[in-house]
Amino acid sequence: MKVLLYLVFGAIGFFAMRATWDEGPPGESPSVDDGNPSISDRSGARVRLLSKSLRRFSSNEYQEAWENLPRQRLSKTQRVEAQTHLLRVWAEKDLNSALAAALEEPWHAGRYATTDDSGSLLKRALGELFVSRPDDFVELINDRSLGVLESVVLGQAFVESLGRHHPDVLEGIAPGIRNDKVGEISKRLLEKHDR
Amino acid sequence: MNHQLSSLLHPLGYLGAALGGAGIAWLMAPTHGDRSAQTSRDFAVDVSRTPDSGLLDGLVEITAPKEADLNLVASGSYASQARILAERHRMLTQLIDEGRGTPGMQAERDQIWAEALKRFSLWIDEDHENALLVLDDPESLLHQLAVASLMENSEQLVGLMGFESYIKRIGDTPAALNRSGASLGEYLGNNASLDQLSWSFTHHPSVVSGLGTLTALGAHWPLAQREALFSELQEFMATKGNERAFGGAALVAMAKRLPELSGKDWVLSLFQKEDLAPGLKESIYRNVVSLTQQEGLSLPDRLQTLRDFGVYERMSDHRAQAQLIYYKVNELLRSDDDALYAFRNGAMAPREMFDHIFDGMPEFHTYSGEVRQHILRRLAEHDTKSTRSLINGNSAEEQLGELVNASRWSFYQIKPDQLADWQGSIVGPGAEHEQQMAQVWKERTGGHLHRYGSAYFDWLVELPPGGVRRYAISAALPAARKAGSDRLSEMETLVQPLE
Repeated sequence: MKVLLYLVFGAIGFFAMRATWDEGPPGESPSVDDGNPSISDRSGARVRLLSKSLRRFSSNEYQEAWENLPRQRLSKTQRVEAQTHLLRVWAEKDLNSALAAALEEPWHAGRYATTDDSGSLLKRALGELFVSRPDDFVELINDRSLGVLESVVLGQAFVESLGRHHPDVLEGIAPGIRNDKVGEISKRLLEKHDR
Repeated sequence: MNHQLSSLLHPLGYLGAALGGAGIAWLMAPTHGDRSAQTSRDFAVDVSRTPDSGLLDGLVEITAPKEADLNLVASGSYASQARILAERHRMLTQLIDEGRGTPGMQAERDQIWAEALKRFSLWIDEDHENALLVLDDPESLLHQLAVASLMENSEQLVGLMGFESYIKRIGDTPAALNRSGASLGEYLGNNASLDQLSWSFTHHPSVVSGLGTLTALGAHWPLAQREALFSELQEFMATKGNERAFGGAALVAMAKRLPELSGKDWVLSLFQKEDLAPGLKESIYRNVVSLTQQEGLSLPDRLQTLRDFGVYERMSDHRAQAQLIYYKVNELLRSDDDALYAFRNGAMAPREMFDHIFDGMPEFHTYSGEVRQHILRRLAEHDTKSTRSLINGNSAEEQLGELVNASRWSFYQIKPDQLADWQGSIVGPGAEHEQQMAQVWKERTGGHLHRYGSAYFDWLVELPPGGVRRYAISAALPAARKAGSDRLSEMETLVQPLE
């Protein structure tokens, strides 16, 4: 009888512990920076490590890397990824400088749109920041400190990203946007969402 | 006492057993033991290495293409392997889309999709009836994979299901119709069976009439039997309801495989037939530009091809030629080698960039003067300063004309500052050129307003004084009046002629 109970409790412990590996290693929240669990372990670990280590630089160093990136002669796909990741860590440290750099990229639109224009880069790099600091972006769009037309390009990327993935956040901040074009796009996105 | 102690110990004993069990589980866990030791060793080595390897090296390294670890899904049924991969693919797509993608994720996602398709295809080999059931459930995670399989594995599925049931299955799957169906065209072309073709045209016209399918059909159909394919297409497109099919794309794809101008001559002879189905005629006409893009065809031959078919009829030779050069330069500028990015940011010298594009279009070199102009115009919008150094015509007047022309035929990036800067740098243009420069703003203002709204008016009044400000504001005045802009009076003042 006793032996049986020991076995039962032992099994409970075993499965309770097992359940934690199914959810991932204990103590780590499933944040994106934990990277790509399915890229092979070794390079996955290295990506995670490097991703973390990229956060420790100053805004000037980010600027310098941004300016030196063209000399690396990477493939277009890799270059756009490098820009995306650089913009993300840079924006966490110094939002205005990162945005100013991104807005120096081409402004293709409509049928000329490409993967590496300002709007696409902003959406891919700053999706999380748009959600966590929406008021900062509304202020930048309204005060036009990045430039009159620049604020429209930024605003469009911002509301399109929110409208697609976080319409509730967009709904909250849309009334505060003073730019007519950005406001018009937000309205259209919200109506589309309501339907 | 002994009894009391043992009753107290019992619960603790069970707890101990539970902890022991957990300990065993911990040792067995894949994330512990050996692997974590490996990871911390990596850490130890890497941390000592990274500080000096620097930000840029780190960025380059993390974004370098990596192999996804697809061995993670090496066991289980093919169905469950495909499902796990499809789930992973969906998750990565969502992260990238939301702006939360990590380095390498995009490449990994593509690898995973290709692998998921492979596993799905293995499932199809094993049990295609069950595998294809998910086609009927658009909500299923595997639905997309099944649709892709249907469109990409024609040969495999025809082998398993038979030709007619395969075509029927595509016809019954609405989502598949939006895909290009190149694999089906390739199968039909390689198989070269008029019976199959005519059966499909009769019973499932929508399945076989798409651009992708018919282009691939023409690219694979035996050249010796081209007249037979033409007759089949002619009959198909003469039938009511099929007039809008892409038959011309099949004929053009076939013609481009014939040497030099013999392909063009063949299509032209068909085009001039009196009894040609009107839909097919229209479709050939729409594909003539593609016909001119046959590899190795010289620019004069390309132009002659356009003329033979009456394409760009109302354009002068000069304009039509310009159009062909424009397409080619654009294609080269957009290539994946990313030279344009390097050039735009000073990592590639203007002359080097120019040669890079020029050397990529040898078929056009007979008209090197024209080609040269076009390349310079397109480069101008990407790097106004350094491109200017390349524009040095024979005379001052020629050079001036070229600077003005660049602003007319380029600067489509819709970043108006660049256009304003370029025009602003042109010194002493003279009345005729001034008029051309003003015309550029008339043509672009609608696009600018559409994109920037009233902010565009605010931008205009901030332009530095000079000709450009006058052209740009004058072009926008009608719209500002119509919109009742509060910038109107300011704009009007700024374009008043000087006393």
